[in-house]
Formats: sequence, C-alpha cells, structure tokens
Amino acid sequence: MEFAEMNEHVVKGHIEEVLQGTRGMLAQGVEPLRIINEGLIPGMNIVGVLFKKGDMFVPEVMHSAKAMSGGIGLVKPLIAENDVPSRGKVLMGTVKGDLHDIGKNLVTMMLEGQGFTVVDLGVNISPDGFVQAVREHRPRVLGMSALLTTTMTSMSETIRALERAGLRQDLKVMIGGAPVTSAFAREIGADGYAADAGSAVEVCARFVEESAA
Amino acid sequence: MTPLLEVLEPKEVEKLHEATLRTLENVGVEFQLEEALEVFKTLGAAVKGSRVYIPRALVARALATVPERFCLEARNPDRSLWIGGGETVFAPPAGCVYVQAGGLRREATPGDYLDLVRVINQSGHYGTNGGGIVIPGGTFGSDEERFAWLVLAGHWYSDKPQMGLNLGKQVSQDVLDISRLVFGDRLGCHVLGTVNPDSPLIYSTQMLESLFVYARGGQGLIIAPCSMAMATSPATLAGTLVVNNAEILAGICLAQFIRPGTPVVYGNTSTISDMQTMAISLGAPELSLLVLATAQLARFYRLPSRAGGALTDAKAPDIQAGMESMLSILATLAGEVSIVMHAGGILDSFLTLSFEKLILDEDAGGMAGRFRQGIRVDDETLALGTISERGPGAHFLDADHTLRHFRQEQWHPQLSDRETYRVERDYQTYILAKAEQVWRGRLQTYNRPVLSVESERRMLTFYQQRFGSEPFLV
Ligand code: B1M
Repeated sequence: MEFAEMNEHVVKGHIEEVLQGTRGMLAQGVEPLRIINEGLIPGMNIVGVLFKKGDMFVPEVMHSAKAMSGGIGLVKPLIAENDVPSRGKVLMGTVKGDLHDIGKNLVTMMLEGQGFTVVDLGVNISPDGFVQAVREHRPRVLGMSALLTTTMTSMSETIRALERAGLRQDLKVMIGGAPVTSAFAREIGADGYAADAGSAVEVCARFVEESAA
Repeated sequence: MTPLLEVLEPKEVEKLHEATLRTLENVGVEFQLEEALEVFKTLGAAVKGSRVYIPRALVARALATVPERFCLEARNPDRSLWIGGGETVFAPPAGCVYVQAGGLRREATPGDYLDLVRVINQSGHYGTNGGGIVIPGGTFGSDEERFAWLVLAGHWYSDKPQMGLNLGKQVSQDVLDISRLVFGDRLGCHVLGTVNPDSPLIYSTQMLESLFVYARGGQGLIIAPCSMAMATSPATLAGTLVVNNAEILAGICLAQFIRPGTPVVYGNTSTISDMQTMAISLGAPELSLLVLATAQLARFYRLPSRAGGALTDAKAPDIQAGMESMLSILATLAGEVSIVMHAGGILDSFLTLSFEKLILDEDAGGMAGRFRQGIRVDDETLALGTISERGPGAHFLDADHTLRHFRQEQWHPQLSDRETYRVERDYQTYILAKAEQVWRGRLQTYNRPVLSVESERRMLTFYQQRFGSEPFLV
C-alpha cells in the first residue's frame, strides 16, 4: 500500500485496511516512524480540515482516529518510546462531584486526533486525585472539566493543591465546561480556558509552543 | 375530537417493551450503591459486581404497585394538583446557571430566585413552583445550605406545590425535612424531585441515595434520563428509547421495592447530540419525537409522564427560540405529557432562564393547550339554530350563541400582537417589552401567601439549627 492510499483509509475510517496496510508496510521493511508520519498522521490532518469545514462529523472523526491509533499501535513496539510522535501529554478529568463527562470526552478525542497523548482520569476526580496523577504522569497540560456551578470551586482547590505540592510551575492548567468562563479561569489562576473542543486543541497547541520557545 | 398525537403503533410499543426487557435481563443496569444491590439481591435478581440483571417478572411486579396518578399537595390545598390521569401540569425551569432580563445575561443571584418564585406564584400557566429554578451564586455557608435555602424560600414565598432538589442523601433529606415542617401532620406527596440515571444504564451513588430518601419518605420521584442520542445512547431514536426505557423501569423497580406505592413519574428528557459540535440540542425535532414516544410509553405502563417543555438552544428570546419552543411545547401538549418541567423561560439548552421568555412561553403553552383541546362537534357547537336565525350576510357578534361560546372557544393571547400596524412602534422590541412589563407588574402586585406563624417559626428554627445562620428572606 502507498502512503496516499493509507491516508485515504484513515480519512474514511477503514480500520481493517489501515491495519493491513501497516502490517504490509512493516513486512516490506518501511521504516516504522515513516509509517506514522507519512501514512497515518497526514490522514488525520485531512480529517481535521474536513471536520472544521463541516464535511465530516464527530462519529466519522472518531472512526478515523481509531484507524490511526490502530496503525500506531502496531508500529509502537518497534520504536523507542520517546520517538513516538506526540505533541505533548495532557491529563484530563471532571472535577470532584461532577459526573458530566460528554464534553470532556469530546475534548479528549479531539486532542488525541490532533496528536496529543491524553491520559483520561475519568469523572469525579478530587484535588488530591489530580495531584497524584500529575505526579505520576508528569503531563505538560492538566485539563479539568466542570458542568455544575457547585463543582467549579473544586478547580481552584485543585490549583491550590498543585501549588502546595510544588507541581504547578512546569504545568499548564486548562479548564472548561458550560458554566466556566475565561474570567473565572483568570480568577482562579488557570492558564487557559476553552469554550469548545476545537479551541481546547488550540489552547493546548499554544501551551506546547510556549514551553518549546 | 381532541387531537392526541402518538408516534408509535401499538405493535411498535410492544417491540420497544420487549427489547427493553431483554436489555434489563441480559445487559443489566449498574447501581453504584450497595443498599440498592441488596434490594435486588433479596428479590432474587442476579447481581454481578454492581450490575443488576432484572428479570421481567420483577418489572411486572414493580409496575403493579405504581399509582396511575397521584395528588401533589400544595400548602394551599386549593392549589394541589393531580399528576397523571390526562391533565398536563406545567412546572418552571430547573437548574439554570444564568438569568437574562432586558437583554443582559448574568449569573443568577438569590434575589433572582426570589423574584422568580414570586412571578411564578402569580402565573396561571405554571402549576408548580420552587425547587432549583436557578442555582444562584452568592455566599452560603455550604452548598447544602444553598439547596436547603432554595427549598425553604420556595415554600416561604409560594403556596403552589413545590418541586424538589436532589444531589445526594443530605440535600434530599433537607428537602423532605423542610416540607414536613410546612405540611405538619398533613399526609401525602409534598414534593416532587427528579432522579437522573447516568446514561447509558448507570445509576450513580448520589442519585440512588436521593431515590432512597424520597421513596422511604413516600415522596414523589420523577425518574428521567437525559441521554444524548449518538453520545450516551444509540444514534437511532428507537435505540435511544430502549436504553432510556430500561433505565426508567429499573429506577421505578427500585423505588417500588423500597416502598410499594411510591409515587413515581415515567420521565425522559433525552434528545440528540449535534453531529458537529456534540452539543445537546433541545430545539431538535428529534427531541419532540422522543417526547411523544415517552408520553405514549408511560400510558402503556399506566404511569404519569414527564417530558418536553418550551425548549430551545437559542441564546436570546429570538426567532429561533420561538420556533423551537413552540415545536417542543406543542408536542408536549399534543402527546398529553402529565408534568412538564422547563415549561417556559429556557434559553441556551437549559443553561439560561430568560424572565421575558418565562412570560412569552405562557402564551406558547396557552396556544398549544388550545390546540390540544381540538374541535368539539355536537348539536350545540354546530350552531344550526343561530345559522338559520341569522341567515346569509349577517354577523354573529351579538348572537346569544356567540356570548355562550366565544370565551371557551377562543384562546386569548397575553402578548401576541393582533392589532393594526402602528408606525410609531418599534417592532424589534415590542413583544419583549410587553413581556417585561408583565413580569415586572407581577412583582409589584405580589402579596406573600400567608404561612402560619407556627410553620414559620419551625422553618426558621430548623434552618438556624442546621446551618447556624439566618436564611436570606426579603
Ligand atoms: C479541560 O479543558 C476543557 C476545555 C473545554 C471543555 C472542557 C474542558 N469541558 C467541556 N468543554 C467544552 O468543550 C465541550 C465541547 O464543545 C463542551 O462541553 P459541554 O459539556 O458543555 O457540552 C457537551 C458536549 C454537551 N452537553 C452536556 O453534555 C451537558 C448537557 C446538560 C443538559 C446535562 C446533562 C446531559 C446531564 N446532567 Co446535568 N446537564 C446539564 C447540561 C446543560 C447544558 N446545556 O450544559 C446541567 C449542567 N446539569 C445540571 C444539573 C442540575 C444536573 N445534572 C445532572 C445529571 C446529568 C445527566 C447524568 C442526566 C447528564 C450527564 C451525562 C454525562 N455522562 O455527562 C445532575 C448532577 C450530576 C453530577 N453530580 O454531576 C443534576 C444535579 C441533575 C439533578 N437531578 O438535579 C444543571 C447545572 C446546574 C448548576 N447550576 O450547576 C444543567 C445546566 C442543566 C439544568 N438546567 O438543570 C464545552 O463546555
């Protein structure tokens, strides 16, 4: 299979074809990193453009992302962990007391689709839970989602807990959820706010550029 | 004939029912509370971890003990209401974060909540009041205090039946305790609260704790999922109904097993997730189809229903808001839903309550209600006597027959403009300004319905002892 054909299968969300293609390329001795960078990721980039234009919709994007990760999964064992291309690691969760997770899941999916590595902690994560997870995973970005006015306060508690644990300096904190605003983000000392999943990707991209600069 | 709108054929209802029973038996429902698992275990249901597989015999047993309708008591007995049995009761919004008045959106305050309770108390449209119409910011010692205050203030300023609030054991217990102080020895259902399953097929600890408190206290429960087809339930509406129906029946089973005869409402607020933004979409026609199916399934099970409302995703009380709200409230009434939360005022997919739209939707509900009554055809309404008496070319304005009928036959709007064109009028703002006048007028003419000194003292003492502070009442 050619790279172009593989890109096309990623766009169409043809998981089986992408897996076959990846296996085929590996068997032919194509360099693993090239499979990712030329066969898989460019397909997902096209998906990003089509989605923004409104020519593709969420379920289709998810299938494309699944196809891409399927391929990456086959290639991964063959390359050193640090060589796996990632735009950075993001830790995600909904805050304590909050079970609303649809928005968080969408943000997670979009970030993964755009090349970020996401560790999804799930729902109802206490400040302590976030602190421990940051210590364990050392992410570039911590993302917190809240949909209840009464759970939003847990976001600032988490930021304070991170400060106390000495984990705040190297970390960017992004928050979101329907009742959350950029003013609230500033007030509690978060580094960024995103109104929707698309902007969440932009915010994370900015964070990564900033820390690279 | 009165136009009852049904979207499912009897055999389609049977199919949905059968698919639901298979889901309950083979897939099961997760209950994240040990006490709930115990209830099902005792009755012989298979329980693996927190997953309960509910056999059809248990479903039938639960359905046999649910009342077909029940009376929701108001502190003023004249305002008590039947839930179920063919009437449609309107309830205000719940859980809104923002209010909009005069075009400005801002965070809701405790003062807004009190104003809303007052405006709604004087409305002929909204049958119930209170609960968390908005969840205001403002300084309360704790969130538990915030919620208890909402309930206390609802009773304090309104004599309509009160909606409840649920966020775990303590909040629900406070709701029941405060109602008890208001109703004293009067028995019955004093409050109606909602429990949401966490779709697909999960009941969270918090919601189960609330369900136990209400069921043990014999108080009214609406069991209502809010799944978003494609995200938290299947993309097809039929598949969504199967998941929702399984969730609702599972919740009803638990409530009935805790206390047979617990008043429960078969609720559903599900809709779709937008394919591009995944946002919840209340203005979607699919929501209205689900509303109609929900009411129909509730009738099939001989239960009262909750669904619908005057719902929209629009951010302002504009044309989009009008179109979408009318579609959903019309479906709600034409489907004969028993109780309708969010029956007016909603903007921005449940996030915002517009004071003006709260009034505008009274008219939307009125129109839809008239539509639902249909056309009465009998000897009196055929008007043969008057037709022959007047003959060709006459008018009917002063006929006795007209006088006897016009007020019942016509619904009269509070706001809609049926006047001739006025050049001096600004039609961009005209109807909104009228709506604003209505709610402001109601605030001015509001009189607090009397509570007995004894009840007031009990409520204040309770609040002080429980929270160590005075409730904000102005
Ligand atoms: C980290 O960086 C980022 C960046 C961007 C981020 C981000 C993080 N997180 C989100 N974003 C952003 O990107 C996403 C994509 O564009 C967006 O995410 P959203 O999450 O906003 O959007 C989603 C794609 C779609 N939207 C949603 O999923 C939320 C929709 C509404 C209707 C909603 C739903 C569906 C549910 N609910 Co609930 N619910 C409501 C919601 C009203 C609303 N319009 O928001 C709201 C939030 N709920 C509310 C309430 C009251 C409750 N809910 C509850 C339960 C539920 C369901 C289980 C039924 C269900 C959740 C299912 C689930 N798995 O998530 C209860 C609480 C449960 C709990 N402890 O968390 C309960 C208490 C209900 C009750 N019985 O009283 C209200 C809030 C009240 C308040 N003032 O705080 C509410 C406004 C509705 C209302 N008017 O009642 C952006 O915000």
